[in-house]
Amino acid sequence: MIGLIVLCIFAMLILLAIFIVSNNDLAHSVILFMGFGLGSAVLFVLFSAPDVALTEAVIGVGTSGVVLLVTLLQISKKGRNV
Amino acid sequence: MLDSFNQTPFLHGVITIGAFLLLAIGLIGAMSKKNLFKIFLSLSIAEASLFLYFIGMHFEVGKDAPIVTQKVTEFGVNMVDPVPQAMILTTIVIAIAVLALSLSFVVNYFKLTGNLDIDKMNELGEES
Amino acid sequence: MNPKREIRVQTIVVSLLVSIMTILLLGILLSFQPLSGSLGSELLAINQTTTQSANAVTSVVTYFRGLDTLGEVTILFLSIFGIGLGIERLQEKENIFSYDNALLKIGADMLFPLIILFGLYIIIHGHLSPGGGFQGGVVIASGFLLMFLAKNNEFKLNHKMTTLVEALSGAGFVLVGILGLLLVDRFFGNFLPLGTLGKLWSGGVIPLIYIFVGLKVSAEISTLVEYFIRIKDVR
Repeated sequence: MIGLIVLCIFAMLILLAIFIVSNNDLAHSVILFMGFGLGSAVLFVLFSAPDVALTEAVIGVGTSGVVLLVTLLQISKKGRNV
Repeated sequence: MLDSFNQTPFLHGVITIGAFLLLAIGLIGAMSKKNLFKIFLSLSIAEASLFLYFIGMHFEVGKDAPIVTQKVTEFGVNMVDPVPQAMILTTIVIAIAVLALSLSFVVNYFKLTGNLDIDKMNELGEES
Repeated sequence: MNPKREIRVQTIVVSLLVSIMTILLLGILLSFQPLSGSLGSELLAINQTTTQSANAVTSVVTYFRGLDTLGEVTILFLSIFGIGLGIERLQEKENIFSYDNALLKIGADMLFPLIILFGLYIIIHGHLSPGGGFQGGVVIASGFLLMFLAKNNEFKLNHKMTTLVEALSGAGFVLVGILGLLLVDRFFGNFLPLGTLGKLWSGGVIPLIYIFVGLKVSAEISTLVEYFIRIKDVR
């Protein structure tokens, strides 16, 4: 079963990456990026790397999401033109 | 038929193509987008694809994590390689620090000039 | 010649080259077999006798490749230092999310010690279960982040304290390495009794190194989060 699960999660990650890059709203991109971190954490668990999964779950969702969102709050409408 | 999906070569093929596509999406985003914020976000995606490739290629179907528990009582039997995991562990922490540093540059640049379009960055050169 | 036509020819040539290179690279990558079972199996074979740590990733990070971890912590410190130099921040700031909720503040007060305790648990049990200094340090920093978000100006980091913790843990980290160099043969050598596998007091010098790394990482990431939360408004 692990092959199919990995295939599905990779497909989801690629779709998320396309949405992140092609989206015109930066806030949507940041939220989807946090989802991307969560999906890669699930993949690390499937690859039997629980240490890396723990790090990615905490950093990819928590810290980098907050840092990106607070930066986004500083950028007014003029800087958000993609 | 379904059994061949669970073999290691199929898994490695999925990981290779998926990580390659993620790297390509990240690099295309970094090259084609004009916004500085978006460029750093795309570079983060390319970085994450590298982590997935590095960990995934050293995994084989049926191997356990390199941790001794009550079920797995001996080192070296049916365990994945611990060295790539240790490398990626440190790399993820470096990645967030570098992302935060680049975002501080983004904030400072926006405060100085008021835009983030890389086509309009001509502070050092002539007016174009 | 029409300049428009020239650009189009260039574009076609470049895209053809890129696609050929992509196909070649995918072919090479798909036929690539990673070198599994050289260094990793060697380290796994000697792990039990040399470190007695149940988590092999932890022993690789702190014991076999401790110098890499030292460099990593140095990079983390330097980038936080650069952020602190570059970002202009305020002592008091308006509430960025515009709420003032008593229930939220009391809830954050009750959750904060639990999060700190969980982070300390992850740090201390790094040689027995998944986890360690980096993960636990970031969990502790996320507890501080909760306090920053819930109680905006009422909660402040004591910057003398964080600088002291960071400096002392960094110095302790290097000191453990030098003690290993002096007492036994190598940098980050093991000079403490090993204990038995699976007990809390085992692993020799590994829990000590990971406690220092965890304190340093938690101080640094909390400082980073505070810099970004109290950033001076551009508008």
